[in-house]
Amino acid sequence: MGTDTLSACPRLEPGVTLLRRSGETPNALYRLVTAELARRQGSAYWVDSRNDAVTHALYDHAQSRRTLRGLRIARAFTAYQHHELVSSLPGRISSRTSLVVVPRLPALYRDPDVPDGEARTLFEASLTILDALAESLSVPVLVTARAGTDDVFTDALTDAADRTIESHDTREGVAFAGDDVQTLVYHHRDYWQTTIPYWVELLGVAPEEDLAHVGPASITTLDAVAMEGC
Amino acid sequence: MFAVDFDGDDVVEWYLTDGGARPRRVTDYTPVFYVAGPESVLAALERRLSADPAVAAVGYDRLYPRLDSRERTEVLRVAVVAPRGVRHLARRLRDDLLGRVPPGDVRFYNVDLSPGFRYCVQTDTPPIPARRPRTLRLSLPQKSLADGDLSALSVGGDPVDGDEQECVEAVATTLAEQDPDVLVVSSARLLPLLRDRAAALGVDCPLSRDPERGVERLAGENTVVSYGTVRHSPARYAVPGRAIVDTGNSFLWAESRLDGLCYLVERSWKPLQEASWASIGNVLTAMQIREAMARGVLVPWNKRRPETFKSVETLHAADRGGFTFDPKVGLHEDVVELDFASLYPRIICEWNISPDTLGCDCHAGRADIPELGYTICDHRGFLPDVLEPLLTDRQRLKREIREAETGGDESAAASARAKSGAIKWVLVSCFGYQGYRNAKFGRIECHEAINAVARDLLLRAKETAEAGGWRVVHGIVDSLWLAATREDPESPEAIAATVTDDCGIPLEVEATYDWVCFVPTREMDRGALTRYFGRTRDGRYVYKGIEIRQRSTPEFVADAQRDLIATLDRHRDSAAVCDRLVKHRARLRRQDVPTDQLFVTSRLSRAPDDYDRNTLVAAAGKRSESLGVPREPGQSVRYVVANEDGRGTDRVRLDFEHPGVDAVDTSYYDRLLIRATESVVSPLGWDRTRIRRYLSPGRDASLSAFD
Amino acid sequence: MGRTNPTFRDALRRYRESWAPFRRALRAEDKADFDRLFSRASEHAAAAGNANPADPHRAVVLSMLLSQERELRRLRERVDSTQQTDE
Ligand SMILES: [Zn+2]
Repeated sequence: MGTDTLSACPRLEPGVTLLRRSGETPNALYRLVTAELARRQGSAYWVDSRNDAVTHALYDHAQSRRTLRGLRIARAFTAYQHHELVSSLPGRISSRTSLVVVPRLPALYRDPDVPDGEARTLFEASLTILDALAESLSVPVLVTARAGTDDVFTDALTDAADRTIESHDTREGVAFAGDDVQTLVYHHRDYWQTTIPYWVELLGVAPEEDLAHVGPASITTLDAVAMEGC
Repeated sequence: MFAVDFDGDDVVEWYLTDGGARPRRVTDYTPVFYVAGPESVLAALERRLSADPAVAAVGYDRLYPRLDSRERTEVLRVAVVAPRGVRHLARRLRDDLLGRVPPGDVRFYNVDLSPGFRYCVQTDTPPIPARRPRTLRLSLPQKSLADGDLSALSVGGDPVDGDEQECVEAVATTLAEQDPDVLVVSSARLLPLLRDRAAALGVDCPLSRDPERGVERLAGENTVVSYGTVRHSPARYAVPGRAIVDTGNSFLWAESRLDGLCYLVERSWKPLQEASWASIGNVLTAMQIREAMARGVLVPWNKRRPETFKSVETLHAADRGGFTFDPKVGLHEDVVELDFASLYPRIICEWNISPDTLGCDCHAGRADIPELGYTICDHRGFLPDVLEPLLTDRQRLKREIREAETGGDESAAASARAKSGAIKWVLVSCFGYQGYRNAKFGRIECHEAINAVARDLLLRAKETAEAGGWRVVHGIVDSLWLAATREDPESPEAIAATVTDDCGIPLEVEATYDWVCFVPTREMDRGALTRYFGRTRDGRYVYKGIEIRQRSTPEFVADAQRDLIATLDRHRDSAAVCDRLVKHRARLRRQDVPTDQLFVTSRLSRAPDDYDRNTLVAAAGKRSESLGVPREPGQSVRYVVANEDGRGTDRVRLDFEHPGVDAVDTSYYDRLLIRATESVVSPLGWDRTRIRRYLSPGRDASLSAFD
Repeated sequence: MGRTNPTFRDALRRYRESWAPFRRALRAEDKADFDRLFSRASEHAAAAGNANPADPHRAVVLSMLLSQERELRRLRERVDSTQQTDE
């Protein structure tokens, strides 16, 4: 929907970023990816599992259809296919690649139709490839795992990641928190809501005082900031 | 050949003769699988395997790694000593290589073929019997089986009059007299029970045709998830020289009986025994494996081929199903139904859609598929080669059915119907199977392309029909229901012929209805896609998706619904239907309905204890367990509802408890009746509130229906 | 496998839900009109699904307009026929 801002969303730096998301919807993923694509030129690759690549949702979150023009998506339905797709990335990617997205990286490797030992080996190999890509080509690689599902796979992922962002769905939209993420801005369809830390940072309002006037009157100010992006 | 079984490192082939069966022992069969990978890894493997006692021989072959490969690749051929030892050795090698070579570098092929099927395809021995196999039915009620009691055994459909000893003797006599080729049993567990009881009672009752060998247990029972549904896979037993059909666990037997099963044996080369416990997907895979091997293509162990990277735009356009019009809820008179026969398989054949033809390099840039612009190669594809013979056979069989019916040859007609039915199941599954995640030769782009063509065809048919003076009252994927918009529309046959010429896929007049009702969803907010009923011009009633057609519906409710639809046919009026309902309710309240017409049949989707909510099915499963007849996920339970609002296992009574009419929760069945009535009158705008209001006390108009 | 995208009907439902605060503030008689607007839009769900627009909201609005157009036609026909009987 229309007025997404880049400032609202943490930037994805080169290296492996792990998004740990709670809640049911992958909205945080769509937000991060579309915001990053809007900032960068070049092609981007998305290796999908469990049908996270919902095109309606991507269109919905993207500022314009042009944002998605460089994005290529392939869906995996088994761990073998997933590994095959990840293994094909080095042949496709260059330093001009803007972004690599691998949502629910561990999901298919947990499936019971792959023997445990083989699943672990395949997963580790996939993770090594992604890590090496991020390192050698300075490409941002975004991987996700559901918060709360901690096992050997997520442990390995946490270890490999250069940084972790956490997200959770709130009534007002998606909230992000992480190492170098200070902003907490909620995007909710066509209107904006902010939390106090954001106001404090943006307008210099002290938490204890004058919160009363931080209300509707300020919306225009915020919209103006939003329009500029960053 | 009819059957194949394994005795140590030997294979025994069985041939049907006029009198019975004759064995032939084969001592030099070694099943083969393949390994592909970097030369150095294969060379090291070759050295190690030639010293492995489980391996008979190692060598190299040149084969195609994929359906669309242009070049053959050199692969290591491993021949295994044990006829059933491939999977075991392949697993050992795979685990051994883990961590030593990068995963994906070494690939295994031709690993997971069932042993009998593998023998047939590798040695080029068709498992097709020289004569029609003779069957013998053995059945035992579930409760008796659980108790290990054979005294209620039926042999050849007739209950044996006598005790357990006499039952076992009856089996022995019948086996000796009839020498059947196929034992059709109500449960495979009957076989070890028969063997053990015969031994205990001192009766000589050889189930096997080989005096040296008896019943062999092939696999223990387990629970498997296939296609996303939980299925219970029972223990499997083999008997040398004979095929076993476990009727409770053979989809194909249930759907197409011996003739259908034999047809699929011919097409797939899965021996009768293996075909009987196979799923449709499994039979289809066997047909594909045969075709792949004939083309010199390797059969992957694990499906690795992924989707190709697509733009968001292409993914958006491709990721859709078939096209459906929403039905116009209500009663429509004079409606014609037109169907594309075998739409999906015909699209595959006509458009040459196949994993090896879609997106070829040699015709790159040509847009052959509407909306998606995918290219399809001119070279004949793999999938059409698999399906074309089935389509041809089905057409021939349909003709044979018609001829046999007009000639009054009922047994020939039944046989052709069984075969045609078996083909239909394969054809119906072939499309979904292309999209199934573990389908060895599936490819999602094929699935998308088939859907795109199907959408285009249905819209073309609709346009032709509208130009000919018809309007669409409903349409789903491959069918259109049409009503005339003017006095003199073109004939449905003419419309069908025009579309057939235009599309290259036959559109047929499936039915002409005097009237048809499209039923709304339970929320009454729109038409349900597949819930309708009506009466055709030749006086036949058609029911789809309503209670009559649901397996769980008790016979009494289904019969009542049938009666109510006949009432609707006569009066075209909701009030008349509700007046008629009064009679059925009264019968129920008078306890005038025998309990065997009130049984609810439900499939357990999980173990009884694993249900989160306290459903009736869970209660029935638990009750069955507590009475000594444990039920597994995927199996069915039959019960009457005794007290819906009660607690625990007391809410139901199971069929084998033989509950009486006074055990029945009348209000539960009354509610089912109202629901079934709602399906009948909701097309005319009446919901259950309206029905109840109409039937509420004080309205004595309905009293006339008591009789 | 496959079938990642929700149907147009889902999109319509979510769109209606996103306007729940709007509906809530309506007077009872207006609520009925609001509901009718959406139930009419859903009558063209099949066509909207076939168009498969990237942004389903325009298809929602177009479906609503189409239903209004049909209603206009019906009313126009009725007016015409009453005028004829009057004459
Ligand atoms: Zn070509």
